[in-house]
Amino acid sequence: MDTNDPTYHSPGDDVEQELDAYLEALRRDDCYRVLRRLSRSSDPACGTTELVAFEGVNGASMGPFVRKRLPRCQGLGDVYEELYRRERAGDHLQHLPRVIDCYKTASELVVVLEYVPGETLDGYVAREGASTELAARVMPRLCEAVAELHGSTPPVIHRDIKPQNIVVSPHAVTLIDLGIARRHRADARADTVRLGTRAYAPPEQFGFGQTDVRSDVYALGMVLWFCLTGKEPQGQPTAEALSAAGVPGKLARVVLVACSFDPSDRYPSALAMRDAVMGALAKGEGPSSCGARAPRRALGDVAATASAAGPAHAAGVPTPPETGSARSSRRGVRAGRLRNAFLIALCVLLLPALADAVQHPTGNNVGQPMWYLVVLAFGFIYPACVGGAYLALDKRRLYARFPAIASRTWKDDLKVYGIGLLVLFAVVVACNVATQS
Amino acid sequence: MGRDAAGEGPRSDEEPLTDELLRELISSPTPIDFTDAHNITHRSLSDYLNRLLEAKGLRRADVVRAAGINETFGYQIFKGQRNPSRDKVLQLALAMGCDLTETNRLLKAAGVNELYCKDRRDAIILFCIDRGLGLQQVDEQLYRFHEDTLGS
Repeated sequence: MDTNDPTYHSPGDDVEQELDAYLEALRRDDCYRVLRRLSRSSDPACGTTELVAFEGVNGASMGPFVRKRLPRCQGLGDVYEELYRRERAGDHLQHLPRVIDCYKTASELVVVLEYVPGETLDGYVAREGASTELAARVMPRLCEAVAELHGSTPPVIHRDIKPQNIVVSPHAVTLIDLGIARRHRADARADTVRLGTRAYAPPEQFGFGQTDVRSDVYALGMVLWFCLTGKEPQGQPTAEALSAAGVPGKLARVVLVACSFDPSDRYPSALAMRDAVMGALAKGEGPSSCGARAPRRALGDVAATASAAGPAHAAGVPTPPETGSARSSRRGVRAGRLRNAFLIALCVLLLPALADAVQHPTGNNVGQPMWYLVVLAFGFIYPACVGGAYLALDKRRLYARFPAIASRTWKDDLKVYGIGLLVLFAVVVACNVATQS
Repeated sequence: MGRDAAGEGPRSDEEPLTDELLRELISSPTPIDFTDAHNITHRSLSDYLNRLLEAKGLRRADVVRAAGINETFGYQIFKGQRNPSRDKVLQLALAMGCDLTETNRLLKAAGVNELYCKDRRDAIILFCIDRGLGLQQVDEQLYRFHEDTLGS
């Protein structure tokens, strides 16, 4: 490498830049004035949380910010370092507090965070009560917040998702307090540190396995329960408890799937859960429709009215008041239905086209026996197209209806599709050989 | 810093369970930390140095050379016959690849101040230890900031 080249950037430069930034951060540390203490625990071993303001050199005051000091020994808070790194790399996280500063002193990790004003979810529910509207307003964005965390490599598992850690403001939902979050280590057999708030944490967080993204999905299910009932969850939700609390059928199913004991029965990701929640909400389930099932169009019917799949709400069911997320989810659902209609129409139209190709073979299919052409067309080409269409389908409504399907990831389906294709291809080859002989 | 500093208000009956569990965890020591915590005030420098050598599988001669310390002097330090200056202790710590905890314990055993991040020189050394950088790189950075280097 040419060290005279001005664009040359040795690894040593990174160290120097980081060191400069570190010394700057330490200098800034003296400039924070404590406004009041926020942490409720007086145990110094848990670290402290303070509300601080930054006093600049010219006397101007910035803030307020939240400053956390976490003892270094337990490896607490290295998640904040990860978030800080992501933010400096340009990855803007919308539903998590911004990390302003993050540095280590000899004994502590100091994190300065954006102060998120607003009420926590439990305060809101205590004041306003639980409702489906609240769930519609909070859950999709909350799932996205969790997905942002899971988007790190390796994924960051929050492990403490509960109403006290969710700040609800008129335009945003923010997930705070990453104190016990950790980065997922695929090789560890069990978490070495098992913490969390018992009511919201999944079984594996207290014993026999490692927590992964699905543990957060469990906690999200519990938060959904809380949004719908206003009550602290008491152990794993059951169908009886849900209907006794008056939770609408679709949403109850979402809660049950998300809170399954076995992680592999839950939604595989926070986004999958968001889709399921939005699917359950988009049916227009108002608080009064508990148990009533409005006539729903099966996917097949959509093809019959293919050309104009307009705003296809199940008629006659009162829709909940429009909130931002419900409106956008309805638009998303409409786009999904259009896509589904298009794909189904394609599959339907393919049939006569294939029948025609079988009766009037062209190219190197001329002269092949009829049974071979039939196998080729309907035993290989058609299943391949239908399988591909299924993969491309917007399955949110399907998830809401058959929650068991929702726990399959797209990759699982792709694998099955690939294997199926290979098998069918082998069959075709065998038939081809048979016709040659 | 007492309880309810700066108007915290009465504590609710139900303490946040996370904190409670955290405290449970922190207060249950692992055997190693337990003995360390109890022995730390009585540990001598040479004793700890030799223990670290053994734990890390290093040879005294290599460490003394890498630290840039005179061979005889180094030998005497490890025997407990001489007391090194703070900088010499840091040189040894860096040569052995000690992490921050071990370095601070070494400093404490030697009867000198632990690393203090508000002192710029210490902060630079702290940063380098955290990054696992060696003595040479530490001195490079110290030199860059016009601080006294560790080596003579």
